Amino acid sequence: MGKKFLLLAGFLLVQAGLSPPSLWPQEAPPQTYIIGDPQGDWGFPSPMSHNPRGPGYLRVSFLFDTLIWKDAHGFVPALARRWEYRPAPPTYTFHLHPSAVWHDGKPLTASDVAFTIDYLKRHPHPWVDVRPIRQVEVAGPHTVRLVLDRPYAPFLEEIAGTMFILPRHIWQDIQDPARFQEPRATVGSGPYKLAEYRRELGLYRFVAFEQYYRGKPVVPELSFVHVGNELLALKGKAVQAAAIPPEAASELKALGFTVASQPHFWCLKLLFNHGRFPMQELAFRRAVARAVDLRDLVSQTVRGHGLPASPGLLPPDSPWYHPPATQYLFDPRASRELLASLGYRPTPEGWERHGQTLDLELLTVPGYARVAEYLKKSLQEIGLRVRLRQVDYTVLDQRVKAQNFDLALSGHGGLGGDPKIINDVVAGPFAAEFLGGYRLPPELARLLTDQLLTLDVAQRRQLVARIQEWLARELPTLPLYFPTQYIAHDGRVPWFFTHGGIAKGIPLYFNKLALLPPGNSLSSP
Amino acid sequence: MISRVLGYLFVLLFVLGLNFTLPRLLPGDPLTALAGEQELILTPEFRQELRQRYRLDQPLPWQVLHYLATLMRGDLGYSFYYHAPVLQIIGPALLWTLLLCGVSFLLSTGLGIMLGVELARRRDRPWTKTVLGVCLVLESLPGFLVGMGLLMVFSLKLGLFPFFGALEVTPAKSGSFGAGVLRHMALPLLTLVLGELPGMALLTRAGMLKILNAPFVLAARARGLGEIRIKYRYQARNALLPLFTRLGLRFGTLLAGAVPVEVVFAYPGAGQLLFQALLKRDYPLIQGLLLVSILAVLAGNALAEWGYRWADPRLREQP
Amino acid sequence: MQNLKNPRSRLKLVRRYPASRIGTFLLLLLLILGLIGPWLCPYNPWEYAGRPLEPPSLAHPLGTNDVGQDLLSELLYGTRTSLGIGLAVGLLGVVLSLLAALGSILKGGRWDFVIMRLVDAWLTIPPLLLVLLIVAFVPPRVWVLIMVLSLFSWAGGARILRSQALEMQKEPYVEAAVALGGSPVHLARRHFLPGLYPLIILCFLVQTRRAILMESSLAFLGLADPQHKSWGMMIQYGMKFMALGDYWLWWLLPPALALGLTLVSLALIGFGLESRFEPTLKS
Repeated sequence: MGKKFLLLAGFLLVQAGLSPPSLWPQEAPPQTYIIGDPQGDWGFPSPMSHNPRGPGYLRVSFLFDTLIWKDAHGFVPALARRWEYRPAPPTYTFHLHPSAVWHDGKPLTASDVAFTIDYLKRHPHPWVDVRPIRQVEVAGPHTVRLVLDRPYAPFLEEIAGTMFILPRHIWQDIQDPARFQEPRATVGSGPYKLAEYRRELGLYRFVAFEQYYRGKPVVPELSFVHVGNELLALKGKAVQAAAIPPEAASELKALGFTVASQPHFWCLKLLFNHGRFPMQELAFRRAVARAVDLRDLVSQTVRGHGLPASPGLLPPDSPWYHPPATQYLFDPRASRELLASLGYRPTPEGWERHGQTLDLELLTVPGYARVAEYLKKSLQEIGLRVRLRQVDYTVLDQRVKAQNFDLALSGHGGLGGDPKIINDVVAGPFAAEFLGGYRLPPELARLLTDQLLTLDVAQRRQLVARIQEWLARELPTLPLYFPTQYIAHDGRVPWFFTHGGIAKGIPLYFNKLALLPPGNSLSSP
Repeated sequence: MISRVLGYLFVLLFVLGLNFTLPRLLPGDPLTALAGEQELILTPEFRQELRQRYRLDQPLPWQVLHYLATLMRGDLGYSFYYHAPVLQIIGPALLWTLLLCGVSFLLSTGLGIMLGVELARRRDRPWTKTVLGVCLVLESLPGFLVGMGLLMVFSLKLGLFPFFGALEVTPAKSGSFGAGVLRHMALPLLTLVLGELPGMALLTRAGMLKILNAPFVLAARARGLGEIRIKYRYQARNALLPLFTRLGLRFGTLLAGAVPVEVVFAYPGAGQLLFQALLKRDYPLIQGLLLVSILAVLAGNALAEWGYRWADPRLREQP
Repeated sequence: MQNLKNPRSRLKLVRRYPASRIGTFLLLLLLILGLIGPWLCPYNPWEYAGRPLEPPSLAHPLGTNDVGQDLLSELLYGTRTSLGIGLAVGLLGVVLSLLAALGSILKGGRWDFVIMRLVDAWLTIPPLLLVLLIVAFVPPRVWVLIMVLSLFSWAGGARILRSQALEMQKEPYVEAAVALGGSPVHLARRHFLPGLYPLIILCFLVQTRRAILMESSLAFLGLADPQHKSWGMMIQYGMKFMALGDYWLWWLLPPALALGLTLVSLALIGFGLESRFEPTLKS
């Protein structure tokens, strides 16, 4: 009897799997485009409560527009049809699109822009720092003037191209923006409206906004969803696009998927503690640089899916890249000579100075264990003793900030956007975190301030090239490599690589312009 | 009875104490969990705001009071990562897990008892040994192995079931919502049932074997009662009563077992949420989830015990 | 109750119950592999011995993983870790259970009450949840795992041992010993322990099995000691490449089989022993 029941139960379960085809969509109907994401939830999609990391911003970008945006070549008009700049006082005038409307039908006007800037001054947002804006003047329903207190070169990319414009009629009474997570908070001016958000599924379902001022998007429904295994999902056609591990690239290509590599905006660096000897000595840092064969490191530790880094920090994918004249070719003999020049004597146990053998500790998180082991081996080849220590990344950050380390492996992104990123990681409050306490020589400091004030692109490029040359010469950290990440999709949507990354330099592939009717990508005036 | 309540209270206090002390033992600054080594650089103002929100700059006794007070209010904290109250994040995920675990529990208990009864009564049949062997094997295998096997065979190779989620992403026609849910739930359900059913069956079998030929059974037979009635009202019921509380405890095991299974199937339940929270070191969420699950288990146990007292007439008179 | 001190009667025990026989055989095989594994291994599993994602060949009988480490070596080292942790937890757990059971019996009265309430309370919580909570905050090292897992496995054994000891307490020879004024330690050693041996072995097996199960589940969820290879971690990494070609055949299947066989063998031994002590359970 019991056996029969078991059989029945089994039979029922199999039936659930074999219901009639009408209840059984095997493939998504052609109207929907689903992008799979291994992390899933990136926060409630409102400009003030999305997850502060790139993918969080990306999802909101489909719902909200900025003043200007970027395509494959550079800046393009978004909410602002055109813009002008006047140098004295530094003022940007934006002429807004007259037919821009909010998802609830109300028109978007200059007062919304003014409100947004004022609101961001009162409620700081991790992505947009509006302090350079001294004053906002509304010169008409569709004209707004932003007056800065001094010339600010990153303005167009970091503020005009990143700041989501908020509807005043919805946000004016909201005191706690991060906790405002009602459907009203997602009313924006972007090409899509939010149809459904389910946090536990990482599901963001967007439907095309018919009255979008640039024309209705070509793809009627766009969704992001959490997938456990992106390869399974892609192969099973459950999603149309997803980031993939590099090993899968060739097989997916063979299956007909379009595989593209994302721009290299993230860099892994070897940090030196500039408060300790010998890390504070330039000769030592150069010795380490020459002891490591970066090309071999990439091929051994990331199977070739990466770019050996430039000592000037910026990657070749960045529009501001300039190959520094100072390069550190793999030369273990030169390494040894440099170490000897510091007063170290080579002995069988290691390098000795004043009776003490040099013994350093290299901190790493488990994710970069291979790189750390490779470095350890390379340094052993020149007789340098290195101990590896794996810690959690919160511990690593803490120790680096407290300057309680010798060497550490750490990385960060944002290297594709405006070169202001160099200022952020080399100077200012984050220098300790990113550089291990390196003290800037005054000339480099001056170059860094100047580059923010220089609006002429050609001139600025020269300054940034000189900055990279300085970094290569001084080597405050040793950039190791830029990992390559891949994405695969079925080719239906013409995704492209945004010039310098989306908004502030997000190296993601999904720029909303690819979903608009053709004839929309016009470069900046 | 009082001792039972005291026992539950002890467990609760222990878990609360754990929840409070563990994060303070963490090396490093919890805020760096957000900034870490990601693409974003947090401005000092934003960090200060975060610090204030999580009250990390207050003295310790104040933090304890604050913690207890917030718990009383039902506020389980604010998730670093999701930018939302923990309770709000847990809510929908917990519903999915309760759906999955609830149905699994009912199925595995019901079917398990039936199987156990048959195994005991027909222990001389040839198939009993094989079924026992299969049960033993299934019971000892971890859920994620079984789940992975099912995923590979039924989803990957045969394409019958989906790979992730709990419902169809594209809501097609009305009425297919339920079918979508069923379809997504089928494999995780099967995995959990295959994991729990053997245990129930074996437990039932052990209990049954003890009373198979007890006097009251002989008396019932002598009175000419039908076999099915004897099987369930007399044998099974009496065999199971002492095991009632142990059966109730298995709900806890099921809930814990759902964690790896949800990860395998990317089922958006509390287990998957916990896994993601562990990856991202979202401590308030981790703590909130575990507190809620343990409360659920305690509630389940209490229910089972109360049910036992009600079901067993011998205990009804006792306090 | 048979006196298991006699090796011949112990052998008879194993021979009579085929389940135990198969189980013991499997377990011994795995133990041997675990012990001599490092010498069998052609490579150090931490070394990047070959190209990544290589299929099985003479040089790498199970191929390599995604960073070029030999999978067979990983499997053999993982055997050590999983079995080692399991046995350690089983041992520690059984010792704790024994101490708790005997302690509560011999001290009696309020001690007994408190310890048993503690045990009951402990048993209500599924261990995995609490272990997850703790391991999320305290970095998972092998000794931490052993301690935490033991902490959550002694309760069940304590209850079983105590109920058996309670029965034994009623035996006349024990009452006599108590009347003669035997010290608790003496009572424990000479009178309780010999009778408890079979149950102790059973508890040990059950706790070892549960520990291996939990350790592999934790490793699967990413909470394992990064300095030791583990089956659960192999399976977790292998899952990523499940959909890619045939990698699962030599990456996922071996550790899954190893894990499954270990757990099943322990279960079989346990089942055999259980049948022996509960004659009504004989099939």
